[in-house]
Amino acid sequence: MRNTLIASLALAAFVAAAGQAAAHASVKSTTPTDKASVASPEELDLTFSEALNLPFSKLHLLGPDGKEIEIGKGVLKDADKTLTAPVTGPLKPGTYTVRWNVLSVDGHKTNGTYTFTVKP
Amino acid sequence: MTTAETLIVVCRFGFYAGALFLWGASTYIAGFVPDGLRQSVRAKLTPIRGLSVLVIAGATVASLPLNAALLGDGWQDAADLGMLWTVITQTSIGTVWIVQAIAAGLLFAALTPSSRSKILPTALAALVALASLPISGHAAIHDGPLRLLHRANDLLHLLLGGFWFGALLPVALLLPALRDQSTRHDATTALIGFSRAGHVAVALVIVTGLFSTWLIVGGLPLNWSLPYQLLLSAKILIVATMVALAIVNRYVFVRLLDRSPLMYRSLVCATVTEIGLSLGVLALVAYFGRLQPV
Ligand SMILES: [Cu+2]
Repeated sequence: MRNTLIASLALAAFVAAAGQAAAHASVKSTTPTDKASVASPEELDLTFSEALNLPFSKLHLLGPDGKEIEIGKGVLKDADKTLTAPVTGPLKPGTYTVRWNVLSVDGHKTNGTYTFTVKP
Repeated sequence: MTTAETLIVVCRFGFYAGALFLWGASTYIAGFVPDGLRQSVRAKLTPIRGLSVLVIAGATVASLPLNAALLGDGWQDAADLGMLWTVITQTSIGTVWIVQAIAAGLLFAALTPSSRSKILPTALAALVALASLPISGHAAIHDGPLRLLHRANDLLHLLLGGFWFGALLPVALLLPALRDQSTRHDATTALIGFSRAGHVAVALVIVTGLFSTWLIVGGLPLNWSLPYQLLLSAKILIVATMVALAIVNRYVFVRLLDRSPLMYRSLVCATVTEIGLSLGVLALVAYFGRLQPV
């Protein structure tokens, strides 16, 4: 019984070793992508390594002048791992910063920024 | 650390210590202490049992506003009912809190005159309290079957570690019974039971602990520039010390018990030291469990 348990845990450890060590939410991918040059996006999409809790997960968009631009309310999709917020109007050419501030299922808060450029 | 963060760590420590003690002490007494000694050990533990329930309840009550202050915009949110409700209903922290509040209620119910003399109600309530912990935290970060596996592993780690930790105090209280002819036989039975179950529990605590480390850190916690990995290494070192002490206890002090009165004092001393070291382990986890692991 005890040997079986140890063996199955060891097997599980082996299987898990193929995966990435994870912990605290981190950004897996974004649309627009980091440092990309794009046409004015209709929404911001950030996919995280783990599920988020919406009330304490927010996106902020900062314009080329560093001032915050109002965007729509964020929603979660893809099993709560992707945080999406609509961009309200067309963005003028320039470099924009997305600041994210999220609470994930591990009960921990994380934050970060990335940038993208809107082509003329 | 802000004041709210420090207080959250204090609450976590209190909750761990109380729930692990109640779980371990009750399962050990129910499973391994003979009838002849059971009542006297339970009577000696009554004050600390009551204290544990109070600490668990206090930590649970305090942790909700503290979390609201941390998640929201500071202390004004700690007293904002709307904010508290959002935390309870829409976060994993809230889900944990609901289960902990239920566990605290069950623990108080287990203290009422009708169930006070039974062990099972307290053991079950402590089990609920411990089961709340892997709901959130780094056991919750995976997808699919791995998440269930990690949670089950962490619960097993808590139950077995809790058995070890919680049994230490009743064991320390049983040691004087070794020197009394009328209780010597029962005390020996109880201590042999602790030793046998302890071997299995400690082995599985190590296996489940390493497995959890593997899932969270991806290997051994050797990147000591990260406080999480440094403190996890410190925790492992303390547990290794505890294991070494337990081995000396079992295979040196106990074997020589009949030959020298000094061995009896060493045994008491070592058992009390084990309790102190386990509290150090709990304090470390209460703090570093919230840090960035990798
Ligand atoms: Cu985390």
